[in-house]
Amino acid sequence: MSLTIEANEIADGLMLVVGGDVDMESSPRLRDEIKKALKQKMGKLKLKLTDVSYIDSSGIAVLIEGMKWSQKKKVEFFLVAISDSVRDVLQMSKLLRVFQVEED
Amino acid sequence: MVHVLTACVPADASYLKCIRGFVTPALERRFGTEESRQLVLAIDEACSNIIKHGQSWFTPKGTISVKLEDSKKKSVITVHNYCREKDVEKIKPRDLDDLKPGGLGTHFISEVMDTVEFVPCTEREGRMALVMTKNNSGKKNDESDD
Repeated sequence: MSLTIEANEIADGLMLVVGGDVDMESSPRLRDEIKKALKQKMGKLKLKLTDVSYIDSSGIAVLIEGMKWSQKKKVEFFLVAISDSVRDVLQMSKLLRVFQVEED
Repeated sequence: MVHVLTACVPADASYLKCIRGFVTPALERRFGTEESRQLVLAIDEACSNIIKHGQSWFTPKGTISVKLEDSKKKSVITVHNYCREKDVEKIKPRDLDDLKPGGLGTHFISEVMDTVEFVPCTEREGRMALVMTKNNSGKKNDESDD
């Protein structure tokens, strides 16, 4: 499935609604969208990952980068309503505890 | 009975979804949805590694060849032309406590598969194939004819 990214304004920040496959081909686009989002002044950046059908190590790397860039800019970074695929890969990489994860 | 499936695609990231689509049905049939999802990830990571790290020896027009040998007891996945013989020692999973982007692919492969080994490629001297084996734990009710 092709990657889809939609930016929605939320209170004190932005929510990127991500869907489809996040793999070696598509993850640079997600990285660019996160970078672009963080150019705005905001308190929170949320990534809604409910409809992510597949994520690989390059996608996880982008999530780590997004979290680190957010920390530098004092922006709170959240993963929201993560899909089973994302949860599975985060658990395998022992990274689930590293992110702030919110239910929907 | 061993079912053998082979796929050969250009070594380009846009073809990774083809590899995933190719291996998923056979692995789901054998291992069920959850376990096959992890196996597909491991295979995808192996193919991604060729695209990512193979530039120095893999021509731009190179191809990735994946063979899946599926039997009741185990599935054996061979990714041909994975690396050069001299690079095998460098391929190791990284320390997960070191929070940094990248380097997780090899960890996923070793985490998911029961055995991972490098064997010399028969078609090209000095090249190694990655052979990954997953034993069938029997969790999924096996209705296959073998």
